[in-house]
Amino acid sequence: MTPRRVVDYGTRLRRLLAIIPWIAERKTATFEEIAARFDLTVEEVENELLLAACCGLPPYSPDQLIDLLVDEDSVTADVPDYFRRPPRLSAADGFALLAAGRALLAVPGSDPAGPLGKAMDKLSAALGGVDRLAVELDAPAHLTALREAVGRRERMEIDYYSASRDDETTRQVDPLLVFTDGGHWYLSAYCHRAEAVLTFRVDRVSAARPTGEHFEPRDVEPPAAGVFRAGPDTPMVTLELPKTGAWVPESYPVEESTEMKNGRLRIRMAVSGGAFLERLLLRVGPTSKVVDPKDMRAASRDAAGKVLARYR
Amino acid sequence: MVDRLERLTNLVALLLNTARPLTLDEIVMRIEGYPKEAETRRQAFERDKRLLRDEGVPVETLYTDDGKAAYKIAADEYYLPALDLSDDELVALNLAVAAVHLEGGRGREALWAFGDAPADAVPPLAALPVIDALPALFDACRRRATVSFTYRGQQRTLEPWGLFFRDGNWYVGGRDVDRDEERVFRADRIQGGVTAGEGDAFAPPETFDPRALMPSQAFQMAVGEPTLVDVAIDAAYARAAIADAGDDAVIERRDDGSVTLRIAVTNMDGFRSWLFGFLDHAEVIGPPATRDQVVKWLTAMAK
Repeated sequence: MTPRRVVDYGTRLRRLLAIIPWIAERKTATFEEIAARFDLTVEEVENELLLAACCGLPPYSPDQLIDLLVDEDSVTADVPDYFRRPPRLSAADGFALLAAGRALLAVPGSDPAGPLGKAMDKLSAALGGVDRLAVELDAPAHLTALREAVGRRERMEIDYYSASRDDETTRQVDPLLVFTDGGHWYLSAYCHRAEAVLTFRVDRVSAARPTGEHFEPRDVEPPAAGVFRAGPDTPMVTLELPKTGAWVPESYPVEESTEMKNGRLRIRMAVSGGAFLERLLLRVGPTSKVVDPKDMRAASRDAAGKVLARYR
Repeated sequence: MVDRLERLTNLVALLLNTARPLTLDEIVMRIEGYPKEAETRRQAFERDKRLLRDEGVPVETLYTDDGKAAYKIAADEYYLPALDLSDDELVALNLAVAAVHLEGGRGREALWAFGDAPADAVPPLAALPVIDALPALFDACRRRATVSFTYRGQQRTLEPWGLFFRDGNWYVGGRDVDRDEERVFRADRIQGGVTAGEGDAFAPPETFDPRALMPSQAFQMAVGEPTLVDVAIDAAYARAAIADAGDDAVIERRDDGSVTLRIAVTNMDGFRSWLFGFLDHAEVIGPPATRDQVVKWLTAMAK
């Protein structure tokens, strides 16, 4: 259960203007029903309805007021006509609905002609006609196979490439959850090799073979934000990068990023493996280097030498 | 003490039902809860008006014959249009909202005004960030209103055509009015708020195509004559490289699974970043000038 947020007046108003027509349509509803439908506690429902009972049009004669008859645990409403329909969507709500729907439709294998696609078309039309919001998601090769394996609870054998170590391994995994965050697809799975729940990048799975064996369900939470987290053993490095490396602090979790007088960047970040660091230095370009720790200063030279060997 | 929620609800009821627009003086005569002092009262009303508009309530400002601002809510713009969603469409919409987590954005509350649908527990499938500027930009796209904002320290004026999400980031694309060219801006780099003008201010292209505005690969990001670069890729990386460059880029497939791709490069920094992502599993074969350039980069670093 997520902690209850402090709700602003705008949200409360929208909610009230949705609750009133909802009750009006039913004539009677219990506090429990209203609470469940609108994500409130029973006390909050009582509080909001108490306020609503005083609302209406001047001179606030009974026929112009929202007439609420509160019983012990339910409410009966007589609502003036003008509050019998909810207001149109706010920009934030319209955006949220279209973004969520478009994201789901962008998942490989979804059916744009299905119910969600039709709902999106109707929503777009109501919001102003043409569709002005697009969501693009990756479609890595084994995404659908892994999602289906989650559904079937079938153990899979995968070939997995580790970018931080630059090697490929084969392992048996129980796929628990497939989800996308920050532009990549991830698989959370119990790995029988590591004997732990690990998170894999789906685009680095180069083969996925069904084993025919099934596993018992277990709960798993998706990592909240960014899958890579520095552990106690993860080395921290300080890098000095040219201006063109400005994308690095935007793309990776960095501890510190300062612009130096000469325009170059000094960045302190955790690196998950030697290959990750080599790749980063090469990608940013010739004048990028490791400042600290001293024993990693040769990293860019070594990386360049290794790639250069291919050209000789 | 009148609760502000009560004051707001009464304000909606009043402006929705008035036959003619009402001035602030007329409004405070009819609604309890506004402060007595003229200036604080005006400020309180301004805050209420802004909140209503942010929540999508179309408060119109009109002027009386003697030039005073007066307000009303047009009933035909206020109500949620009938969407005629079928039961399965409503269920699909609920599932989408449950499966896609908008970080810092609206979730199930966006569906308050819709019909009832079962809200079963759904495993999370996607997380998308929500940047503060997005609802305002979305609304401007929808209304065809010109927006202005600060971007990398510069003031920009844009006719927004649409929003798109790619590689973990939200972008807004359209015509940059001052530069008179098509531009794309990353929404999280917009500093401060977004100011939108009147609706129907421009005519966007009939369909919105993010790919036409921004190519999906860094090595294509620039205008100009492309250089055709041939790159040999080892088997282990072939699939990933083809996914980036497209099937059409493959000019040779070898028995060991390795491939050669012919890539149209318009941005060398972007190309280098892409190429070295493969470490020593990729090699530029030609043209000679590009191969020499790569060797030069590497030699400089290997010193």
